[in-house]
Amino acid sequence: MVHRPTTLASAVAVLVAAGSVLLVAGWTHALPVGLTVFGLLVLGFGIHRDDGTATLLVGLCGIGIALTGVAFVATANLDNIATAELYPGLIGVAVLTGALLPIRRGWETALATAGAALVFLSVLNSGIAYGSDRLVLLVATAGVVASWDAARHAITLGAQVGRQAETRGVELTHVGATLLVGAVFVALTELVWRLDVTDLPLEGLVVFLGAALAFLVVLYR
Amino acid sequence: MTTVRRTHHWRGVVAVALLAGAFGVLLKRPYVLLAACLGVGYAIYPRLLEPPAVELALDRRVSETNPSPGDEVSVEVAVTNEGEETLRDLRLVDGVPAMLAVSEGSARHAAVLRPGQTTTFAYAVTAEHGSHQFRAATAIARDVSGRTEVETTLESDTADIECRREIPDPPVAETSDPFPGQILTSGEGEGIEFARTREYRSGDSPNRIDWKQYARTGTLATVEYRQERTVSVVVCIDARPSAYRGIEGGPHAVSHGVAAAQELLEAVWEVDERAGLAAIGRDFCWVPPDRGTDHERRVREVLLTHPTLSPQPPENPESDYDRAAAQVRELRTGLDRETQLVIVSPLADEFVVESALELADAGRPVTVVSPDVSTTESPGSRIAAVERRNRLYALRRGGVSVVDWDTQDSLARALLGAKRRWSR
Repeated sequence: MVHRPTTLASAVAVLVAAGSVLLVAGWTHALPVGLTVFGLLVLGFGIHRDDGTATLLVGLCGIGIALTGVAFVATANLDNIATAELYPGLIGVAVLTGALLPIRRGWETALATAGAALVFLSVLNSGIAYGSDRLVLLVATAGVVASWDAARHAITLGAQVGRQAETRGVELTHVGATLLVGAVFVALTELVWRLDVTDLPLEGLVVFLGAALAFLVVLYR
Repeated sequence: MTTVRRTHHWRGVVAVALLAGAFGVLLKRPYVLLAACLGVGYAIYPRLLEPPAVELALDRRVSETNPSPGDEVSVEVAVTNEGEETLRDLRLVDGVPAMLAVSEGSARHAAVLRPGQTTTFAYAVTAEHGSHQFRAATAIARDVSGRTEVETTLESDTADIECRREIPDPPVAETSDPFPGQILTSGEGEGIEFARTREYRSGDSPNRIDWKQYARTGTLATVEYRQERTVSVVVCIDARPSAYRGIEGGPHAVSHGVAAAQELLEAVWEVDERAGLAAIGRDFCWVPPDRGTDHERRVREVLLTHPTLSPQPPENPESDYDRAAAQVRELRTGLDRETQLVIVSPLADEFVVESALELADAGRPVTVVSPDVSTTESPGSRIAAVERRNRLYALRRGGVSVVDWDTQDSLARALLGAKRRWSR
């Protein structure tokens, strides 16, 4: 039991990732997204139970619900751009769930990163092609990072302490801190934008951001 | 010992900033560019935090220090934060004795611990024969972002678990004469166990003449009995770096060796013979054979505390052939002519085979007890298992008694099986 990602942080990671997808896809898609995520969570719950027949039944039920959700998306009368937003996001959430079950030992981190990357692509796509609202984009981006962080925390905590131990306090503290930091930076960014302190042309902003990024890369080496 | 290390938990978050920044600029989407700020924010956040200062105290209590084999012993661990700082992500792994398996609960725990606060957790272990010492617990404290982690060990003077089999216990009946080799020597003369009759030679004691045969046949014959001699046994544990290998999730061969040595030594003392202990590895460990309560206590102490027999593998995993050879030479000089040698080794390399064959060639009774820690998981481990079998074969062929011990089974059963094979 030791080397499996912990339950609470895993569930939070999946829910936050799904929240990001839902934010950018719009509330009209709440039903299919909700169904898919609910199915994935039921599947996760089934696999976490570890007792033969019940696991199989719950797992099959979860797969069924998740597939129904995806079928909803496929058959609904959605315009192309909207589905382009939704598909990578939903697949990303599914990959993230697969990472945390885990579907394959040793692949947890790689799969979680891949899942989060797909959700982020869906967020970016929504900003680029669909012109999503500024706040929606910011919150969804914070959500992607928070869900990736929660997933990695679940993986390392599972590897070091295991699923059998009492870990909820630590999980909630870590995930809570990351979400709080996200909220603070979203608020700061929004504030700076609204202040509209400078009439900087885009080129100036680009140079500034480029310098900031170069600084970051140096910091991380 | 405290180590501070980076976890690289946030490595990759810069990609969010780079990707959003690049798309925002290239496609002229200011809102997407703005999202890059979030990536920057998350990249800076972990750097604002300091690694936690860890000052912890551990208190461990066991419900029973002298259990019988198979009994459940519950262990309660309390960890107190004695520092000034709240530990927001504290992970604890208790140092369960190497040979004991956790049967209930988990020996691992995670907690958020404010200064002065105590967190407790409990688990149960199943007692096994032998003396079992708790190892230091490991505490890993991460800062709340998870960027750095501080790992430290927590010592506690917990009582050892001393688990002894009761004498009338059935497994002990099997082990009443468990150690390999012969207490009855092959020498013949005076004694109590009949060996053979031979032709009378003048000077033979009259009470050894077979009078019944004289009455039947009229010829004098002398009865020979098997001679009994006191023997002494030295159990030598192979604790070289190569012996620190085991089946995943189970104890390594050195821990098995310590448990086996204890069982063998006690079986020898049980039949009132002398037994001593040796170990080769980091340093040469040597307690000459003897008997008596003080000696037994001393040997048990050495088994639990000698650095050569530590459950922690040595930092340098390279085997030092010269050092091991010097230690075997030292062992040879310490052995009496009559002393039987039992070597406990996983036979991970040729060294023990060479040494055992050399000693057997010199006429000393040598037995090798080999805990089987080989697996069939990977091609490499399968090759290692084949090599081990070849080594066992080489030892048998060289006149060394061999006990191939499947560690899932009791040592007593392995010894019985081996003795049956030898008597064939």
